[in-house]
Amino acid sequence: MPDKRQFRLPPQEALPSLQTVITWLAVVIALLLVIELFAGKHGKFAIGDIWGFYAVVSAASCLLVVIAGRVIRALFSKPNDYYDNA
Amino acid sequence: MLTELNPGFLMMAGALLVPVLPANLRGAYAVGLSVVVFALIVSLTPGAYGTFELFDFTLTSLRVDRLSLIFAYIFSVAAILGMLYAFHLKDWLQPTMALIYAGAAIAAVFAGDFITLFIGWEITAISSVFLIWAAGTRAGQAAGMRYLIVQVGSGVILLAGILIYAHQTGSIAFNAVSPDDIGGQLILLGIGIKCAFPFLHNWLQDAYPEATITGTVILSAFTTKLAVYALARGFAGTEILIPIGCIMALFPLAYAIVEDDLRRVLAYLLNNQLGFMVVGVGVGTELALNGVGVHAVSHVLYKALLFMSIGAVLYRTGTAKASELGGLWSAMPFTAIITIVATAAMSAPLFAGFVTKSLIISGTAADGHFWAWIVLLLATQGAVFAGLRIIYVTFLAPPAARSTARPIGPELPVNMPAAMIITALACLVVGLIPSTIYSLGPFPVDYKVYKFGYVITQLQALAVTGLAFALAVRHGLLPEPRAARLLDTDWFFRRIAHDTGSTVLLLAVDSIRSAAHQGSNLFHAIERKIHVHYNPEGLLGRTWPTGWMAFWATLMLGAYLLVFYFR
Repeated sequence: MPDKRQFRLPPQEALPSLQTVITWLAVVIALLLVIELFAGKHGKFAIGDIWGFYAVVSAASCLLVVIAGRVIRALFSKPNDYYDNA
Repeated sequence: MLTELNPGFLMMAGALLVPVLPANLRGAYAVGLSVVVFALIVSLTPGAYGTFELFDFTLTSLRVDRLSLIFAYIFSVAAILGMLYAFHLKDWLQPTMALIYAGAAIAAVFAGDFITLFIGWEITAISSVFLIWAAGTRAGQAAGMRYLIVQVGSGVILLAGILIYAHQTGSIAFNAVSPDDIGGQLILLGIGIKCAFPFLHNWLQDAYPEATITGTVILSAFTTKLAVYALARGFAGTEILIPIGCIMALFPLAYAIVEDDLRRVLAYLLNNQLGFMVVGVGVGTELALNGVGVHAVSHVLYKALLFMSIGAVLYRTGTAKASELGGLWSAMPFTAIITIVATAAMSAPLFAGFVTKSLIISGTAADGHFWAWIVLLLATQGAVFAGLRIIYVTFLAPPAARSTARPIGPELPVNMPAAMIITALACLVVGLIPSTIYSLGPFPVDYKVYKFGYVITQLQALAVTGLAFALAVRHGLLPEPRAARLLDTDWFFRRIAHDTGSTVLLLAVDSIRSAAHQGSNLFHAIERKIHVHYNPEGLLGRTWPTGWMAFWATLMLGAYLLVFYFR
């Protein structure tokens, strides 16, 4: 039998705030970009050896996914009982 | 003797014992049988066994080589983990069908000929549907029926292809197939349905989320990876598979990011990872095919782990809908950590997906497929983004923003977290010691994944994805979970075909009714005519003396002799 406890909000002190996450990730990315300058890369395609290429592809991917998702939702989102009423 | 028997058949035979066992022994038996089958597979030595003649064809019921072995290993491991996750079940139907399903998949990957493959192919379809029906919901019943129609349909198309192929080539050996002939094309189509090719994919997202909690975990391992195996065996290097795989890798992500049902999100992500494997098969080099084999292993592990995690959420809260979840971090920290591990296992260094997916991506690049390479890079990070959304909406997002905050149910049975921990460790071991998994690949290739420059760039990509996700959350750009039904290609057969079918059916019923009404006189006339001859005194209804029978038999034999004489 399910008890009556409800979901609790994550305690604020237990989880880092969104701003902290964003700051730390930005620092990590900056560091990795600096390290990349000294890392030897010999990929098959020259474009892959351009500094910051993977970071740009990654950002583009996230942007594309969010935009495509919103398009899908705008075009194809129906009420949950859509097929039940068929 | 046992080393010459297809272990899949043994597993299926063993499954038949489950219903007669006491309920509290079934879980242990199912795990034990899976372990025995795994041990048998490990003991196999390469070669062709169980060969026999059927009509003019040679059947090989057990073909052991590196390609079949790696898929058999992961299928048997998936069976062990799935059965452990389902250990607490007391019904006989699910463990029986799950074991038959796993056995059929193993039997199919060891098939040296198309007939054995077809048998395994169809048994996977028929047995697995019970894992969907066992959910006992109305939606599950309907989705299971649609799933069965599609799966059996794929088998029928496969069989048609096999028959034409056998007629054209005179052989039913399951080796490389030419996609230029109609036989080969039909075989490719049959496999493509099971592999969830674009526009043929929607059975996957339709049916898997409707299965039982444990059923979905088991379903995620076998059907689609069996199709990947069949593709790798029959169509390696078929270039059309590269664009097909690219579409598969990309388009499901758009759905995954807005879909409400998290098990359906995972089904879309499953589809996306199949795309990587299909591209690898299309590239067809040893490096790429090795990537396909080892990525199938990783994928089975981390996808099962993701389904286990969401299954645990469903078990305790009664829902897997993003719009009804949130804030579970404090209530289910263990499941939250496992979900994070499973998401990391998709692409992060030190985890399984990273070391195996890299082979496919490198293989694609090494063979000069620039655009496919770009697509795979985009799809890798897109999948991570969608994975982060699962973690966020389930565990971190404030539940107050959701329509309902649900009560937490009983603790998970101990076998469920045990299966999750073992699967998570497996993901970690594969990632930490990649040489182990590489040595099991279809071809022995020398590949070093942990190269400094490569790891740095991949960490960069992951960190940017993480940052993009955090920024999307902060600025409200992440699509808010919303209870809705997203139309996919199932719309064509669930709405158009349904509506058209209903209209045709109504018209047909109407016309039959009016014809019956108008033609009732005709029916009466026919009835009277029949009565004339079949009434007790009629020509065909009355009893005849046996002498007449002897007379007519003699007459017919005489006629036969005459015809034979003059011919």
